[in-house]
Amino acid sequence: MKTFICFFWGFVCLVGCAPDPVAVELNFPSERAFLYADQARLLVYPVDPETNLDSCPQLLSQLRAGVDGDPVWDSGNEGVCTFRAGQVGFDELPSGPLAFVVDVTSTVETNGSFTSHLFMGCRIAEVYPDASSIRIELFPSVDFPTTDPPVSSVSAKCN
Amino acid sequence: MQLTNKGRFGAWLLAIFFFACPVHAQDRAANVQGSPLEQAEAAYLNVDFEGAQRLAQQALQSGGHTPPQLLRIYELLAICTAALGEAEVSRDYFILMLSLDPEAELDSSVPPRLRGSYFEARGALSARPGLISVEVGIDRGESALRVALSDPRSMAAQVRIHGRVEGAVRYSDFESEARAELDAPIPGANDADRVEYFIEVLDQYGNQLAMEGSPFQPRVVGRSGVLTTEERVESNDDTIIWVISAATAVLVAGAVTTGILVDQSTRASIQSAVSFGSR
Repeated sequence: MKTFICFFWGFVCLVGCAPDPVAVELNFPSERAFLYADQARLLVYPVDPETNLDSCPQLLSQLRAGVDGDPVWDSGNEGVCTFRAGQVGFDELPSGPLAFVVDVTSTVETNGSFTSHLFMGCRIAEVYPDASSIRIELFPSVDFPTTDPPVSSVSAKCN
Repeated sequence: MQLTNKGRFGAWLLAIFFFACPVHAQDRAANVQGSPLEQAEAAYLNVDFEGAQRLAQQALQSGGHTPPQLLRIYELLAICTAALGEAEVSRDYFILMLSLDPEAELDSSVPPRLRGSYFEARGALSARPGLISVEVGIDRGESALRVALSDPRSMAAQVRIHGRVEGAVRYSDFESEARAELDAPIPGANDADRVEYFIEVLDQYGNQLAMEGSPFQPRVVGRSGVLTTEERVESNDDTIIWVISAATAVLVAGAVTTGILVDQSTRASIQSAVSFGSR
């Protein structure tokens, strides 16, 4: 029993001392835009601070072409509501500048296609304990569907 | 004749000087005379290697030295013979010295050129340790202490065994030539739970090569657990090992915890969020 109590308090201390996670915020142009989105994928790439701080265009271009490159972390395709609920995370990020690349896809018919890179965004930032949130502006990469979104509100979509 | 105050003070000083000087002279004479070992030390400090060797040899043969004194005698003999160019003799003395205490270090004042024999002796002993040891048990049938003597270098000439039933006042003394096994009769040992003892292992001159216990801190052997000298050492070693292990475990646990805390404090994690529109 004493051992259990010791381990319990040790665990509490360790967990209690862990810093809060840094929020990676996927910033959609509007709520309506969010309603078209189905899945998002967050990829994190290491960036050489000497030569590669402007690597976002290249990374977005290669991702659009279907080339993943060599990310240090890849969330895989997750529902946008999962992202919104804060259920996508990672705790083994290396130190130094990183490129956070987001690719949002939709299964809503767009220009005759059901899966498309609806929004994309990239941001180079450094993650460290108690850093402020990393906001990734998402820009439409294709024309929006002409049809109405399948649901009328964010809460209706995610609840 | 009348003395002034100043005159009286001078007379006192003269008297003190007159009586004190012979005392100092006697002290100095006593120091110079001293025991052969003290004289050998004095000669060694005067870099008189021949004199130191002769006096150390004399000290050895006069007998009656404790193990630390005997160790010093062998050290002096070894250093002096090394200084006089007798390397092999020096090595043999160092072997005798290390047989008394395998961990014995050389006096730091010994110059490097005289240390070769010491290292040679250490090498020889590491291949064939020569430490004297005794194991003790009770032979109740004979009402005696049974002593097994290990003397790999045949240095021991005599063994003195002093034993008493636990609680008794006087020791029964027993002296014998050194043999691999000895029985020392102890009155009452046949019925006793425990027997207290101390043992002296002596060389041919009566110097103590080894001493197990002492009159005031005797070893104990008996029903509560017969501990041989080696087992006693092992038992102490076990305790030390446990203490060291526990301390190491605490240190490692502390280091790991600190490492985790530091790691957690330096390694950041991320968590997703969603927002809408530009701020």
